[in-house]
Amino acid sequence: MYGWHNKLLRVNLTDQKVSIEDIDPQVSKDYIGGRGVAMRYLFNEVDPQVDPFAPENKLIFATGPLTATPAPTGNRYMVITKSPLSGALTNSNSGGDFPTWMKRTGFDIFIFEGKAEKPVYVWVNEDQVEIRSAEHLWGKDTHATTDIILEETDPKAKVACIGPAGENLVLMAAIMNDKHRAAARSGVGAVMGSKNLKAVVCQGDKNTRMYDEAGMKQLSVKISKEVGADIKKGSSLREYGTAYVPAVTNELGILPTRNLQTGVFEGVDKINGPALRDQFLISHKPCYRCPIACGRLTEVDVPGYEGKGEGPEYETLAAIGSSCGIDNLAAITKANYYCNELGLDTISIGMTIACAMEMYEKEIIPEGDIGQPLRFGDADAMIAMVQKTAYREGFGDTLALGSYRMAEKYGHPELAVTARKQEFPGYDPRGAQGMGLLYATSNIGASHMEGDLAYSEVFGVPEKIDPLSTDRKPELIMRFEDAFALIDAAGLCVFLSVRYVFDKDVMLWPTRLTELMNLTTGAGYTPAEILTAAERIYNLERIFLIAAGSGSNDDTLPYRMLHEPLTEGPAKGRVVDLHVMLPRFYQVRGWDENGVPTPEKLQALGLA
Amino acid sequence: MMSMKVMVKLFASYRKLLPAESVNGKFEVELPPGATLADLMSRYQVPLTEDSVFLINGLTPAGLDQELFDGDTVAAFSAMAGG
Repeated sequence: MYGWHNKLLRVNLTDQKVSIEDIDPQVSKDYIGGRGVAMRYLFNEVDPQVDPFAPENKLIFATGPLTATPAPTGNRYMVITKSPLSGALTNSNSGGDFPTWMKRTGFDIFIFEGKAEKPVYVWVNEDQVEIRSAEHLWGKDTHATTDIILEETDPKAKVACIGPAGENLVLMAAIMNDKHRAAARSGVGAVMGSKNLKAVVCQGDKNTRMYDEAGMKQLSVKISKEVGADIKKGSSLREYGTAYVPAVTNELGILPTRNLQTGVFEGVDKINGPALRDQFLISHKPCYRCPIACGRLTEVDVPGYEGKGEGPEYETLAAIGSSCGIDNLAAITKANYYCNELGLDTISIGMTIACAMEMYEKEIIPEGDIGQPLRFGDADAMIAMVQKTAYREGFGDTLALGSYRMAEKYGHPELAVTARKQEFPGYDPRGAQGMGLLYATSNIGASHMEGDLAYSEVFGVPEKIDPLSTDRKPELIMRFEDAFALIDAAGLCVFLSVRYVFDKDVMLWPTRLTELMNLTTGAGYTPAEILTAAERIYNLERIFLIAAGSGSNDDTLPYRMLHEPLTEGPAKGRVVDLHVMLPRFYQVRGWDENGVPTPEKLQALGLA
Repeated sequence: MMSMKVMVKLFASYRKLLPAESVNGKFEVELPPGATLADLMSRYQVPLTEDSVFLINGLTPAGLDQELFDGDTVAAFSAMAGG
């Protein structure tokens, strides 16, 4: 087998039984790997109406055929399950080191099903798989958990685990790997916690076999050299990490500020890349086999906020920073460390706290319920809320529900800035129309990673398009959604992929990605076939969503986005013109006017 | 002839192109009337290729030959994957 091991590890936590299965090579070929093959299994085995916390829900970890190959950034894994936050799917993705170690166990995919009676962790050492007690780890944060597990298993192994947030079924709980990297969105950590699964540890030497090893190495080196040459010219990601972004989105007037009441933040210079570099940066940090090195190793020595770790990333600076009206970078960075240690999604917790701040200031939430004031700009209150949420203490028990259910509880669901009950990422779509269409139609609720047209609307990759126009956005969002599904299925990182393995045209034709896939797997794909595979993945997800009750009824955005125009900045006066883009999006997708894939579309994709 | 004042912001990796007098990544310049985006950017060695992203008052310029006016804010940064 080339590229894919075509082996699956199934762990039944109820029966404490482990089994090894073959993956049908045709399934791998048709669904690429990673997110695609995982979705095929989820669709086959899980009722779309399942309660996400029921033992019948399955938690799937998935690598791709390019994971653990010389491909630059060939080191990503996905977590696929039904989300307790959104009731939709999850496509949680992470880098670090763990993905490569997982692929080297000799399995492409892990499926965790059922529920353990008592906390356990799973130690995967190639074919030797043990389900071990984690009772001594329950309650510990992700860093302590990782250290203890490595001592008990193999110091050179790699760990993915949950912290107190996942254990307490906080709806925005993340799965942390390598201590500082997160499969963060959609409550995947809570699903893991609901199964009493504390951690997964991986070690092995089963490298990915390649069909044309020499060819693969040659192309990989070529791509790495191109990246290197660009970095020499000057790389914002290498120099500043994703922290360079607040100045850019602020200039466009789309930096989420005070729960997206505006898109311009007066404190942006204090939370921007240069501020992080000047005050807290130790060095850049790459994931395994990445030439870009966008990661940040940081340390804060400001009294009251001391800590060391990785980040913060842009999304954190937006959600915990500007969206909470906070410009205290030391506090934001400390909160970021807490989120990594406790296992929380920084986007959802930040945006949920922002929503609570707005409701507090509007006297919708009484101070007595919170136990203290919670105003925009109060960094210490924000940190207190982060900690309380992980432990469901006091008002943290309400925050743990996410902003939509919290706002609904207080009679104002329209103040939650979510799609499918999942909190928005760091781009106000009133000033980036394509992102509005993306948030409304993504199969996981509001997310930038499901087809990040911000690459073009904001960052000019592969080419700059006008964020304020709705022209072509339906076609572009479809293509970006499929392209990102492809990247998630193949096992690469988007930071490399969009620029270096797709053609330099905004329609993202996957010429070089196809080459990498063929050199690795020998599958003989054409670029058209590989894009069709992506469309197949996307439509399979959509069918599941519709069966779960989340079809066109949920293809929408909050009232603020549709009816409250921005009052300042370049996008002043704009709302998201979703009604202009959505019907045409259904058309280009080959769906009917109710957003349901037509029989012809399903047949063409082999999904009929 | 009345010259015009334009604010310039160079973000992230383009900060290395900032002149000495810039503060917090921005500076003001005086330009002759009729000066274009290309005129201004080439003064500071900002690449006029698709490697660069330009904004005039936060909006997408029609082209490199777009004329600038008194009080405009021009921003430039390298086209690079985001966050």
